[in-house]
Amino acid sequence: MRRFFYPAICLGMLLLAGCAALPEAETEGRTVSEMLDGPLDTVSTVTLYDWRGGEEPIEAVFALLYDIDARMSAVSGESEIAGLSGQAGTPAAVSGDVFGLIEYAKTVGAETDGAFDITIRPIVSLWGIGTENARVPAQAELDAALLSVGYEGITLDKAASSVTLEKAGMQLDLGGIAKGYACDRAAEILRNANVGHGIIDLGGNVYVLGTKPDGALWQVGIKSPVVGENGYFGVAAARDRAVVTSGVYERFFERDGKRYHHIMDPRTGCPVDNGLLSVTIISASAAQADALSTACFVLGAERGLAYLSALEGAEGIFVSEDLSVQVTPGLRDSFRITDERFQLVD
Amino acid sequence: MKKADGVIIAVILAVCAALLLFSRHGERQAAGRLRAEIYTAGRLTQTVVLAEEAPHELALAGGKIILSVERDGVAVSRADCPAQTCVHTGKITLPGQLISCLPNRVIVKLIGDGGPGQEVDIIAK
Repeated sequence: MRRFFYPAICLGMLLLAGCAALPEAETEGRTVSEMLDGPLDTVSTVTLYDWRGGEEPIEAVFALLYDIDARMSAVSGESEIAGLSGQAGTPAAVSGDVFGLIEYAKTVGAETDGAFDITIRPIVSLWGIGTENARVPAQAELDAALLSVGYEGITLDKAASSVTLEKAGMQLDLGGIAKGYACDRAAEILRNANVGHGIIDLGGNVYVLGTKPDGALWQVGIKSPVVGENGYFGVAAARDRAVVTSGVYERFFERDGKRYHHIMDPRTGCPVDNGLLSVTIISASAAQADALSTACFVLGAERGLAYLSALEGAEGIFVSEDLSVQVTPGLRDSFRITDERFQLVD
Repeated sequence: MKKADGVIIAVILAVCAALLLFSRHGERQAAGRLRAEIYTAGRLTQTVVLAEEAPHELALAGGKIILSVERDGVAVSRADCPAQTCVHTGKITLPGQLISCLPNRVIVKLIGDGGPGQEVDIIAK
């Protein structure tokens, strides 16, 4: 009996070591990634890491994106939002989440002195930036369109879940907030499916869910705002956070040697010209990050930073044309610049 | 314990150690691996793990697009479309970056593995 004792123990150890050395796929979860091109006018990607389940959570997220797109698109004639246009003075019932989003957008509009305004659509249509009809409108056209712009002209009736656009020609555009809202809802779906590690990327609006599989924070690169560059200039470490950027490089056209980008100042009807190249907001709420990245871009670095400092939980990264970078105090430890052309300033 | 037992134990322990070392080495190699996912007409048609590939070219969309595959990234080297947007995108090397050719309905995107080998896991833009 004794002569088999040591070999038996050794055989056991060999089996244990063999198990530890089994291929990754048999002992660990998979990285599952799916892409969808279409809803919300963008390419969406959902990636689950160290995931042991099926693809149902991703399919549920994609179904959600189609639903949000169908109800919130500013251009699809069937959507609730498009249905509000041309109905000045008449209350129109909308679904609960559309109402909530319009209400939140109006709040941000009020808090930022109109820097964020979901009634900007007549101006956006005039310029046509990002379409083949892009042009520089005449001042008279802008003045006329501006008469239909102003979030104060949205009247909300919570009890009836209805929205009234008070001024003639008013149109809503949730483009500055719907993708963020979709990110939040997508994260909720993944969390409810017990996904512990994931990245949602809705056309560059990013939400990092949980941590990386090894427990470390996700490393989110912030795209270089220099037109024509594909890389990143800095990296933010985060978990359970949305990272959303508004930048001049996203959509623009050039006419007579001047570049016109797509971020409009609701007060002038023209592209914002305040020396900023991009604003990135990091927040637990992607809807907030989406709205505030636009709002803070329009406000400018000084007022934007002051606005963020008064808010709970939203952090910001402001990049100016001289490639100087300003961040809110909450990012001093979790954000680092990786491109030496960019300089952190106070 | 006989001398022969000791030899057998030593050999088996050495094999165990080698197996464990091999598996850890495998994990390190897997860390930070990028893969290129190729979507044609909205469907995933091919996945290429870049670190496992010698540089080569892939013909996509019936040869209308030529994708250059290298260990650190991919680029569209030739395309038959008039705008050449996909060619102008250049080489993509970072997780989350993509090349899109709308006329041929081809999208190529890079996905990281969430391991520690990459400086970034995704690009926000």
